[in-house]
Amino acid sequence: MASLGKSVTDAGGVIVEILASRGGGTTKKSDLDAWITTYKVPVTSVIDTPPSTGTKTLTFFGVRETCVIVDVKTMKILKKVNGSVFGTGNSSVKQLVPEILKLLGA
Amino acid sequence: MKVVTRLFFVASLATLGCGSSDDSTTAAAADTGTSASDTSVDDTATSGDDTGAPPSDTATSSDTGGDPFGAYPAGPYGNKVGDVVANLDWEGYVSPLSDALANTKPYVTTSMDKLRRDAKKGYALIHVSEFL
Repeated sequence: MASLGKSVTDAGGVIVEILASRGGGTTKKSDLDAWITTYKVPVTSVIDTPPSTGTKTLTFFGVRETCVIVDVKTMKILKKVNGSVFGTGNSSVKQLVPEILKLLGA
Repeated sequence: MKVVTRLFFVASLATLGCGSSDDSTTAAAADTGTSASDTSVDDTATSGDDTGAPPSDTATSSDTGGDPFGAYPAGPYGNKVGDVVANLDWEGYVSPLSDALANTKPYVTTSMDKLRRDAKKGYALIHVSEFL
């Protein structure tokens, strides 16, 4: 994520990592900190707010390891990838970063 | 002599009463708690580290007349290709340049609407993760 994320922002795009759950439950700031530190995440990283009100983002997207590219003017989803929840194969981010870089003209 | 003493006393009281307006302005300016550079002290809670709302992320809004993005698109919202993503609310670390570890940035509240305005070009990538 470290180099992939920077390539998107360097090209003028926005990248948002949402830590939507921990072990299927809600996330707290301490979970976000641990995750950022463990995976050395440099991009915008967020959790649902307020943290105690359930997993709104996960509920909206349906499943973790989901990655979408949106047009920021219309907020329409242009591309979507559901990566493996078992951690096999390329992650959804790895699959979509080349696609957004093409859109950004990089 | 008594007259002089009384005049000095009255003058002293008047001087003490005149200095507060500047101080209150300064205090008010330093106490808004809403600027993007305001780093909230959010690590002082004991076990519950979510007490107290983080400040709002205002650094990305351009208020210089005219909003190139317009209002957030209306629904219906969905998660399939062609659907409009809902304006979800979040809190966390906003790092538009990805130039350092995310949690070295201020901890703020933000939203999909606020974050999309960081885009210099028209696309955003959103990833939903879980920490196992």
